[in-house]
Amino acid sequence: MSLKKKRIGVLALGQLPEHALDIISFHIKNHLDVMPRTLPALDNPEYAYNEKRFQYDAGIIIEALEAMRFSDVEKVIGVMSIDLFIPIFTHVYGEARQGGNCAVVSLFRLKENSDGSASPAVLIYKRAAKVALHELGHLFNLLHCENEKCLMHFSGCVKELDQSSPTLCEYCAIFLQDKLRHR
Amino acid sequence: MKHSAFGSKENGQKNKKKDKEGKKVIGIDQPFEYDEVVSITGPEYVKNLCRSDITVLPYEELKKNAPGFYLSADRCIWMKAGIINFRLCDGAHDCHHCPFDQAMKIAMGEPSPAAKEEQREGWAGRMKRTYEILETPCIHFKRGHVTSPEVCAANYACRHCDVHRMLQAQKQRRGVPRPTITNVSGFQVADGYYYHFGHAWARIEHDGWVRIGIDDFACKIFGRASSIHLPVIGDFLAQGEIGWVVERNGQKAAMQSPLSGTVCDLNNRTTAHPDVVQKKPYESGWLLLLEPTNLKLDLERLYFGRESLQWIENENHHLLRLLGTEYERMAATGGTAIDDIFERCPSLDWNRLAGAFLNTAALIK
Repeated sequence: MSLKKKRIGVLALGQLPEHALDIISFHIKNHLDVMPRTLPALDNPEYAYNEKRFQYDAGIIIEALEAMRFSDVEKVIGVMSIDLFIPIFTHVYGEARQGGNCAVVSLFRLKENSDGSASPAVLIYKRAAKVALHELGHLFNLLHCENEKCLMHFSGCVKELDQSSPTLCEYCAIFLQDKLRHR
Repeated sequence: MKHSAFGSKENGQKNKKKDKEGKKVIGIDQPFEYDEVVSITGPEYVKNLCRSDITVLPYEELKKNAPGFYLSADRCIWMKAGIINFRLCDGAHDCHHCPFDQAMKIAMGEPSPAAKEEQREGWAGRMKRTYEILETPCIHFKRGHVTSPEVCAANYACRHCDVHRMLQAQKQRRGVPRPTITNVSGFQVADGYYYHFGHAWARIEHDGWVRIGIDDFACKIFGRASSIHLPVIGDFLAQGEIGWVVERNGQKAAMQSPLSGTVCDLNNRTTAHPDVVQKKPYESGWLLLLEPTNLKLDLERLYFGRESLQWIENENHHLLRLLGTEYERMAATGGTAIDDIFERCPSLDWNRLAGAFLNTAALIK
């Protein structure tokens, strides 16, 4: 079964910059050769807001998306501008359930460089696309890769994210094809 | 009989080879015409010419027989340096024992050997003058570095003293170079270190001792310790048995020793400032030095390299499972693990964490 038969959906949660969703969709099509569907936008996930941390819990948001049971799509990427976290992390750029159906991506922390300076819009969208592709890899059960240039390499900061490539290394690419073949 | 190359008739006959033109040559490996060389250097030079072509003729004799050569090596180095006008060396350039050289150095302002000796023994001389000769205290004892010996038995020749050498070696061991760090899902893993499943690390030092500490994963889970109870020097630790105890506000967590061996040194800084363990777990936050007794076999039971990275990844997944079902099988991108997971996640019980990751719950009575 090839990736083309997979249906991938992207949706906005809350307000997003103009064209953000289109650019992410374009990158998904460019690298995975499948055009995602743009799903109807949802409101800001206030149910996931943590007052102590002033951030939104990514785990709760993913659970909520999984409960929504989107028809006609198998994998869903939720994109938002709010700050995400999970309890053991300071913050996250994206989160996905390994081998699951839903993932979330946040633009909040991608707007700044490592030195604190503001990033241009082009770079922000490029980073968001990489994170979305990375989370999509987790949804297809790919694990973190040791290869620093691979899309599936863990990026702890924007500097590492910028150094990573939007493409898979040969081993992860083979692994992805193998996963798809056995579905 | 003409002189042969090696001063004997037999050798001369053996070595007086004839070239194609019938001329005599010095030797089969020295195809130079004998008469021609002798006319320049004299017979004595050729006589003493060895197989390596290095002459062993005493220099004075050589000089006499080789008037045509200007041997500049006889000039004194002070003459060569242009300090004096003329002086020929008569000591085979053994400047160290040359009285002229010593006199020149003094004249140039360098202290005499006696003065140097006096400088070297300055502090020792002061020690001897301050204390009675029979009561010379050890300087390390006076500084409080050791409790014994109290008296110096080496006449302050510290470089020959075992205690001094031991302290110097300890001083060198306290510096730990910064290792290369790999970020595994927000947790730091030092490259080249061995890891025990109880989250202690071991680093082989150059002299065969092993440095031991706590890895970043355990430091972040349990947060900043209020105290660390280390073993004492001389204690024997067995791999897998309790090596030390981390305490935080009355709650204790024992940790397993990654290797078997005798404790040789302790990082006392961690007992005085336990926060250094969390700040730099792979550098200045080390806990103890061990002299291993079963290194090869013990290392086989530890994680290393890629294996250690995968293990930390699995531990991360285990930790997320403990947080709740909403975080099960979660894979994060970006950020780092928070410094104090135990404090920030009230649902995580101390004993549960110790049992799950340190594997010592059963060892604590």
